[in-house]
Amino acid sequence: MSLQFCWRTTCLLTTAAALFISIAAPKAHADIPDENYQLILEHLLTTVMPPKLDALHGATSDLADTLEDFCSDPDEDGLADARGDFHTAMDIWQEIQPWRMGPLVANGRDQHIEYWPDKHGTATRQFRKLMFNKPAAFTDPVKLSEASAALQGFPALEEVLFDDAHSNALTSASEDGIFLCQYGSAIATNLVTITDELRDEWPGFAEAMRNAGPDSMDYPTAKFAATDLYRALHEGLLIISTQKLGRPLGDGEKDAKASRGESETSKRSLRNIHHNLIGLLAIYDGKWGDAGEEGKGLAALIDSSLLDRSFRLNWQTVQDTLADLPPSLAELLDQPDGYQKLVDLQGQIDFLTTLVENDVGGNTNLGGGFNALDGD
Amino acid sequence: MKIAKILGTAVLVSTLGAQAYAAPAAKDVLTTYADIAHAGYEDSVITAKKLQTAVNTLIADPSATSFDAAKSAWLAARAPYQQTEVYRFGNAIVDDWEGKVNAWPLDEGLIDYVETDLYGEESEENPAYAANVIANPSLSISGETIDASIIDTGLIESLHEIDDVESNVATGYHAIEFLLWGQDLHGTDAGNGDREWTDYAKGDDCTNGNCDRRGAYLKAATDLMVSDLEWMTAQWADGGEARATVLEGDGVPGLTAMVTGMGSLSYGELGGERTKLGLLLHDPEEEHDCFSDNTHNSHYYDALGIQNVYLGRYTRVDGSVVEGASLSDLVAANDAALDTELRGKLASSVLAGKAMVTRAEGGEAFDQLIAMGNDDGNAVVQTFVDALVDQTKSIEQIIAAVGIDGIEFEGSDSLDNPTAVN
Repeated sequence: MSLQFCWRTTCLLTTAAALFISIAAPKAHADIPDENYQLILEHLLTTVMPPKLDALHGATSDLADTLEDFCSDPDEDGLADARGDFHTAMDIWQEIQPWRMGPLVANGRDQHIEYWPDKHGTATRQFRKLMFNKPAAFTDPVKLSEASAALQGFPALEEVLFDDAHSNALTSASEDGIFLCQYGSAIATNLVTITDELRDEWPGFAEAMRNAGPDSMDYPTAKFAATDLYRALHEGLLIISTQKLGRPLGDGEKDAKASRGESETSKRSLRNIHHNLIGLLAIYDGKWGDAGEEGKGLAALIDSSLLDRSFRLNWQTVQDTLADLPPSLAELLDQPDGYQKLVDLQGQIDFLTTLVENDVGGNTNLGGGFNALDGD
Repeated sequence: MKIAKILGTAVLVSTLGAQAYAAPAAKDVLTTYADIAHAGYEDSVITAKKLQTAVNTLIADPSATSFDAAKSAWLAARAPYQQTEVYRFGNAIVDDWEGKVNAWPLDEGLIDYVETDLYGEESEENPAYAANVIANPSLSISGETIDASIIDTGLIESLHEIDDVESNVATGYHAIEFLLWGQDLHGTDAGNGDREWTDYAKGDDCTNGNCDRRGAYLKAATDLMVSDLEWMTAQWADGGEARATVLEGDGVPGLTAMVTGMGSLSYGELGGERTKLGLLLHDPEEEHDCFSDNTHNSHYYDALGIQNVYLGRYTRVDGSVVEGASLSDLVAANDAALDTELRGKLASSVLAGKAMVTRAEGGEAFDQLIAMGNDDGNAVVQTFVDALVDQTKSIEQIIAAVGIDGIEFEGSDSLDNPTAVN
């Protein structure tokens, strides 16, 4: 990468007021026919993604059913079942989460599914107020859907199900427990509605992307449309580094705080990253579980076997590292060398990010543009 | 070693293309860009000095009249400054500096008294969350004792972002705003901060205690802001570092800064953090000018600033106009349709911002517009967000239109040096 632009990368990784344009400006590369981008769009958006959206909808439906059963007859086993279904749904969501495009982000849908990071402590403040007033509207999933994103979605449900301070209330059917259970049930039901809408809207979006061209209002070329896929891959890695790892790491070992991590109340911050990486690899590779076909993602545009091998090797390195770590940040940071292990993991993610930024971006002629991390 | 010459590229593109318009030289476009920056920061100084005068009057002769005059001066000062925010992203010299004058959001309990039922008394993340400098001549923050017996510019500069906590905002527009309005305790109902002029009164008329120290803080913050704005104005004057940076070399830094500033402010910052977030959370704490309920204006002038940069035209606070060769001219020479499209989208976002201003002037401020259940108000704000997101898509296309994507980069170590691959 040229020295002239190195500072941009540094800015992006060290401050939220990051600048992001042309850092990923491509290395000189032969033009790629627009139909090549079109094939990738078609494969990823119409073959690979829809089964995952079905799975997410199914998992949230199971979660809602389990919560309804639990609330009708609350006990320890019921709570354990609800927590298990939460994890199942969250695993699938974390794979889908990095695909930040189209219906996933329309009207802040991704934020309604999971509002995080909560940089200003809004969720804590609003939850405190909620528990003080216990308004009945928040036990109605329809009315809840109009409320603050911080009081909807997975983090709010995580607070209900996993915060030890609520466990006794939940299983003893106290006044707080009844409200919490009904509120949690409303969150789960609202998630079913949101994921159903997402599933319904996706084909229209995929069709618009697939039909990119001069007649499209939104996507004048398939290459322009495919930029969203590249950006999702790049931004997904940046978010892992700067937010999911950077926030708990803080400015140094003394400043580290596991509670700044994502989903740490349910002790699964690093498990989230593992699933994020599965979803990100699907963008690159084109295969996601049983769906899709290997080599039909962005990798299809890459003419360098060395780059392809390098990306896959580095991706696997990160996953191998994660496999050796506990799912909880708190548990990891309690280890004598836990902080350093987390720093090392971040370094591996950053290396993968650089690879995407400079080489995948250059080889695919995609890259550049603005992302949501540009704000404070 | 492979950096393309953006200036040459841009001119080359337009020269070879069968376009009806001659492309302006990139240097001329960048000169206009720097001229507008200089005028905007100079106007910010001019209006901040009026605020400074009003603050001095308030402190010397506190009354409802002098208090209202200071608040009016603050509101007037926001208009030119917000139009310069488009210079923040893309110009490192501005981004490194701007936190001193416009950092947000803030934990206002650092500065003065707060209503603790709403605000709380401590924060896990911020040891200085409720330090209350005005009430405490000696502070203890993270085990360190700080002598705050004299409140001056040096003290508040040292407190700014103390403990590396960004929300410890001790200086700038929003610290002054809090000192003039106080907390807005009305939630998403009508009304802004209820601070009374008597918080600056002398003797027994003083309310909430420490009126002299509150006045000293307000004066220090205002004096420092004037000084900071003068510094930035000098950076954009002839011979200034900011101007030199955007004009240097082949034009790559300047054109990149222009597009970066427009896109980053449109999307991540204004469209995202400052507007969409408030709408998602329906939370009055998430509004930019939360004490004064002036957010509608701040957002509108931000959007106007983006348009100013693209069109190469800025109307100064005295009504005079600074204008010259523009990025719009350069884009039009290469892709007239894109220029038309972007002009339209910029006009739409300015119009959407104006719609929020109109609602606020009719008695419905930004915090009311984002309230839960206010579907009509939410829609007004959402229209603004949508317009900003939409214009970002077109701004991205400038990169190709003026040839910025002709920039070549050296390969990374991961390929050039395979042994470096993990």
